[in-house]
Amino acid sequence: MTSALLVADRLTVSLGQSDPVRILDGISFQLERGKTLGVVGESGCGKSMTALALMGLVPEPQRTGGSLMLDGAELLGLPEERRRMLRGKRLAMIFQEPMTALNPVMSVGAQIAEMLEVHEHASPSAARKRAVELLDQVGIAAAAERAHAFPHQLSGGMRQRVMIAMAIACRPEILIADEPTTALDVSVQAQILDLLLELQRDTGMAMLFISHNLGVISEMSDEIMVMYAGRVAEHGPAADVLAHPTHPYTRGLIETIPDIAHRQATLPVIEGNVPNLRQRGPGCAFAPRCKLVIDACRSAVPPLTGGRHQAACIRAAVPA
Amino acid sequence: MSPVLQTDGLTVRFAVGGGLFKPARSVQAVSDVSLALQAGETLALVGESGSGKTTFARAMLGLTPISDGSVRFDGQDVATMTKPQRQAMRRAVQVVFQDPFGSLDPRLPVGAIIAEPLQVHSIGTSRSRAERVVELLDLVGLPADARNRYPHQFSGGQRQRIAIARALAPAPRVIIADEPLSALDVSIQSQILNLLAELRSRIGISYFLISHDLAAVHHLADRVAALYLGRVVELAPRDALYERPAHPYTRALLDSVPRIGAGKRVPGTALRGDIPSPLAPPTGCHFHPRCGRATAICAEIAPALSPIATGHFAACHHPIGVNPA
Repeated sequence: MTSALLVADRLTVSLGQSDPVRILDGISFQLERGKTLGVVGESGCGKSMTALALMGLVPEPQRTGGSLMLDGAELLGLPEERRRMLRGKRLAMIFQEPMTALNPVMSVGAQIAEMLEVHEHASPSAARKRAVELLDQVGIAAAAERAHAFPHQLSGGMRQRVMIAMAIACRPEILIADEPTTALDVSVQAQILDLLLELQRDTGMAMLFISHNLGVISEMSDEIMVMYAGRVAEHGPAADVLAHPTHPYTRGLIETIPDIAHRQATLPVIEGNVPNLRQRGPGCAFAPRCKLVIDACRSAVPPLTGGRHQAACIRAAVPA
Repeated sequence: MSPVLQTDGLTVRFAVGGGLFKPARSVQAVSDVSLALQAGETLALVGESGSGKTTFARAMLGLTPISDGSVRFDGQDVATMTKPQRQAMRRAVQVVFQDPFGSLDPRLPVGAIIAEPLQVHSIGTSRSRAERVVELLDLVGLPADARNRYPHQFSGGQRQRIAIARALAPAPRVIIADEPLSALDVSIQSQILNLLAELRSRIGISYFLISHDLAAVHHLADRVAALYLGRVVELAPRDALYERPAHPYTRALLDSVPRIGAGKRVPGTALRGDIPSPLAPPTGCHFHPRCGRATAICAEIAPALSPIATGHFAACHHPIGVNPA
């Protein structure tokens, strides 16, 4: 695969000094220009840590292993100042709650302009002008006036648009979106999803789109990576993963969500809870909740197997 | 059959702003809402933030003062209830909140949390209450020894089970559930949805379900009311509402729900604009500035909630699928 822009190979992240916990345990994936990789899983499965590892923002004390190549250049181990030059410029990120990511005492236009002055060395007046253009591009009406607004004067949807304007200001090659619509109402969520797809179509940026909502993942992704307890459970082309999930966790996730088109009296459930990462046994992390579990599942972590559509399950071929 | 819980023209206004020399303005959070919950029925209230869902629930519970209209329990207006009648209602109408982390007292063992409503209402002896706690834990799928542990020792889903057990303790006839799933992981949501459905068939309870999750509502509700800026815009049996929504807002809301396995989205289908500020709601039909079907009349006259089929009501001058008379 020659078109891969970013290649993560057996990426691991451990947090903590004396008794480190392995939050990410050997994650491999690729991001391609103009494509979206959707990352899905429940809380604590490592979605956000994957995003932070890409951005080089993993909180200290930490140890990162494996490899992360951007356009053929290794990112892990880069000095912080080189890493900082990439952030915002080649890789940008948007978060779930824009209110906490924006500066509350600075007008939104000034925040975007500041970014352009730092990264693109734009003159203050040029940066100001471009900030208004960007606000207009992300669908904010009367952008010239709204540029003077402070974050608290805007609605949740508007704030997320401002965040997106800021993220795309330096035309990043990769946009990481971590639950960008989770705090929004469904009608506003639809607007933000549309906006991200339009921007991707216009700029050709690659997206890593993180969500716990399989519906949103389905509507945004070319490929889907399902994570469970810090590992990849399943990975493949979006339509394939959703229509023919092979990992019992993916199957469970899809089945447990009520479907308006097919109402069932009783929903299938995944028994139990997402495990504490310290209590992951030597085997498959999903084994304690799995209906298809056999003894071999508990003795070794199953490797990802398969071609373009992979699953980390020795029982993947067994019908549910 | 008379409804268990019923509102007639329920209106809640809040005063906002205002200072020493500045007159306060008033926001109408709930406008003229008339809904009736029948025995054994699940009535869902859907709408986006700011639609007035939670204010409506609080007003029904007497936690927020009513500006106009009335709430009736078993046909009796709560405003004219005697003290014993009011106590009987408090026992018969229980609540489950969104956040099972904030709604359980962290210093009490689970057994005491569940027994508290029994104590408050002086139901049973301490011995019979202890037996009832074990029975309730079993009913919500928790082991009997859970009664000796504290809330922090449980996961989010288990805590929501504890909150449900507490609500069930005084054998209520109605549970008002305000976003009971939204703080939970996806795989846990289905467990709680199943539990709510199972309890309904086992003990014949009525639910007032408040949710923004249209798929969960579809799973549980018998009837659904859609709220927009404090007004009911549509009220219908579940299947009618999901299959033949008449109000353009209900339609847009249903269209916004992301679908699994329908392929990548085609941009351009999203509803335009934001929900307007309730401080300055649009004239006429509140939805008209965002509506593709709006005409001049929509900006002038607020449409009344009118029948368009049996049990199906919409507040729209140009309802979908209805030929103009």
